[in-house]
Amino acid sequence: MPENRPVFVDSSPLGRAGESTRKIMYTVSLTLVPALGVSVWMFGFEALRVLLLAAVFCVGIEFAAFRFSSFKIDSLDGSALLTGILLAMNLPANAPWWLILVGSLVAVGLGKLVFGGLGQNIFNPALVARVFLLISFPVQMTSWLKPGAVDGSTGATPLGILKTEGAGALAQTDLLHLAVGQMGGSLGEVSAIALLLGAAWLFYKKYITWEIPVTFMGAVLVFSGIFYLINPAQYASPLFHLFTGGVMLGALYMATDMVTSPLTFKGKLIFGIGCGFFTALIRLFGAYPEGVSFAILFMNAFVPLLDRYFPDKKFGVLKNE
Amino acid sequence: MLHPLKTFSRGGIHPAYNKFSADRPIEYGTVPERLLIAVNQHIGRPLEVLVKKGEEVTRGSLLAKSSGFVSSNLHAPAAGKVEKITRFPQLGGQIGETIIIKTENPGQSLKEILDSETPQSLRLDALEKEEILKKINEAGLVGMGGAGFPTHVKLSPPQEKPIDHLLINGAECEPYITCDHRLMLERSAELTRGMLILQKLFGGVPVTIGIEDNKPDAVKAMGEALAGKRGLSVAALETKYPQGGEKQLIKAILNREVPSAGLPMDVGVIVQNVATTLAVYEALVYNRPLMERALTVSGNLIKNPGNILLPIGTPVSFIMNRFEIDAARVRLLLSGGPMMGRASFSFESPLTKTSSALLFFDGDYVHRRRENPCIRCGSCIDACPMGLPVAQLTESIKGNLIAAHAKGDIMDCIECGSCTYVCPADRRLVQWMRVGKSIIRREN
Repeated sequence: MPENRPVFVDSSPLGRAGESTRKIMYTVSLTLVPALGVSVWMFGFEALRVLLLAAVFCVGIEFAAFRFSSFKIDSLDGSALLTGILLAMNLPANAPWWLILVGSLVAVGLGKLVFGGLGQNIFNPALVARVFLLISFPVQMTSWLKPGAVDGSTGATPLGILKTEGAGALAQTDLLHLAVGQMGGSLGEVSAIALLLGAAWLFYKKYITWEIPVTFMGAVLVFSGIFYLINPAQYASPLFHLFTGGVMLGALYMATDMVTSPLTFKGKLIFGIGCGFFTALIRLFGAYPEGVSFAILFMNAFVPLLDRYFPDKKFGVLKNE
Repeated sequence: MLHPLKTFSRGGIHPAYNKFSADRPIEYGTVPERLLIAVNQHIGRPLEVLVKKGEEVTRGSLLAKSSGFVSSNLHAPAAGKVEKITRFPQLGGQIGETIIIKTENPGQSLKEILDSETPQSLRLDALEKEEILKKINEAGLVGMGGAGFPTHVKLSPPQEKPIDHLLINGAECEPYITCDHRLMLERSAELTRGMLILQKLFGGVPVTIGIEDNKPDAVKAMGEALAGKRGLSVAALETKYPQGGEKQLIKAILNREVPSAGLPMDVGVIVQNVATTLAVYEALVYNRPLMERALTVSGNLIKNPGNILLPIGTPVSFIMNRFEIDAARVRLLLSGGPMMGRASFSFESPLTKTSSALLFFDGDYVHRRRENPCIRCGSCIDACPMGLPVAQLTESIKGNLIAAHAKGDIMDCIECGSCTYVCPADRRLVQWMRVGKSIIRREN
């Protein structure tokens, strides 16, 4: 027998499409650049500071966990970076550094690593951190820089005004201003248009599919629209609800998080409708002005059940039993 | 084309097709010095070896005979002397009993051999079904697309499964492979006659040959060859892997779904490969057993990829010499296509009835990365032509916690490899599905 033998004996398939976890994570991170740009435009250097701190803290914590734990973590796979960016997008631009550090610890530690790391967590890590901070540090988490304010003055978000003063106080708000992002809010809540721009690339790359964003936004429009039709004086218009707060960020980036959203078609539809319904419910009747993060976390808990009980149709099976 | 091309409804991928040898006519190979003929090249009962060391054989001598219904005869492709019968590494990676024949006329061209064999006049209407099946059985025909299932068994469905449509699989959806493409172009008339024989076998049912539209010349050639033949037709299919999967082909052309755990005959269909259909023609018209086959020789290490007709039992090293492949640079030798083929470890392994391609790659083609955690992106599920929840199934297999309701799903996997191909986390999904299948088989 000859000396030279083929070295690799592997089982098929031997080619690969060339996708990788890193590629997905860094691509998603890059598509957030337009929205982050608007944040920096609105809130200036403060926004950049929050973003950098959150990103460095999250990646650093995962790197530390890798050093001191027995299981293998690729701290540079981009997932920690993405969590950091999404956490920053959920924070006000004037968040103090220690708030960001606590948030990062909760996001990466409690949100992800305790479950076993990437892919194992039930709840969206950035949202776990946001809700943790909102409940623990309500003052810091609800002091919003006014957009374009150079003096550091703060004010309420449009949703906050709606909750405390009613729909009448919003009479002069311009929907176009809301869509572009000229309003108070966390980093990622401000510009709906920039978020849609980034998400368009994700649709093109098929990293997200239409089911969750469309049903999420649709449900928000439908449920807030019903009450707007009943009493326009008391309730804000459905388009106001769509362009304010975290609906865009939530529907396009948070609810579509691969790890914590359903895998099946029907599961995705139900998940999206649930997110939209509970968002509207909390906004209209809850104690908090904003309900996106609660709604998504609540629906995250149903994901395993949705996957299990609403499977896709299999080939050669007329109806799934 | 005005109407949309036919295809299966869900899943599928578009790998780089790399059909470098599509415009290379099938060359006639020569008889090598030694033929190494694996005794068991089929699915079914093992064969009974009839020859002994030192025995003289001629072309067409029966070397081993089938030992039951689901079994397939084996013949000597060239005259020579049995040197020894030993266990030898095969292309699939297994070690199998092999008859080594020292040939009488090494270097003799297959063209010369084939030209000396004369066709007999065949009157289709005078043929009895039993006679056709008997000849196919005696000729040792197996599915030449890769599975190696005895053809006469496939063509003998039980009474309660009436067949109302035959499909010829000319999809050739695997990257690199072009031998069926060339057969459809160069031997369309004979292929047509093979289709007529199969049609006769099932009382004149329609026969459709499905061809992916990345082979427009083959669609055209077959369309011309079949023109005017009653019940024979061509279906142009969308180029999408795994279009040539039996179940996918039936779905694409006839819009019928083979039921879970079922066979094509459950929906009244039998699928035959292009090369097998030609072998049926040769078995009936030339009384020729299956002794040589056309295959594609390609890969990124070959300057001149091609298609070649070679005797079964030809060792890989013989082909490497002919195609001037530097053994020192080969890091991966594949038998079959990159999606479902097998990697082999020996350059001396011989061709079998099911070797549709030999692909030679250098180190650039091979990239090995460790499995990363599943990020539940759902790519595998979107790619799965069977609609299986691959991500969850493989997790349960890895944890050896296969739920009762998941077993049917796992067994329905056609092992096309689309899931592993698309997985961004480099998870070896189809490989785990194979593990799952073997676990379930062992339990039963």
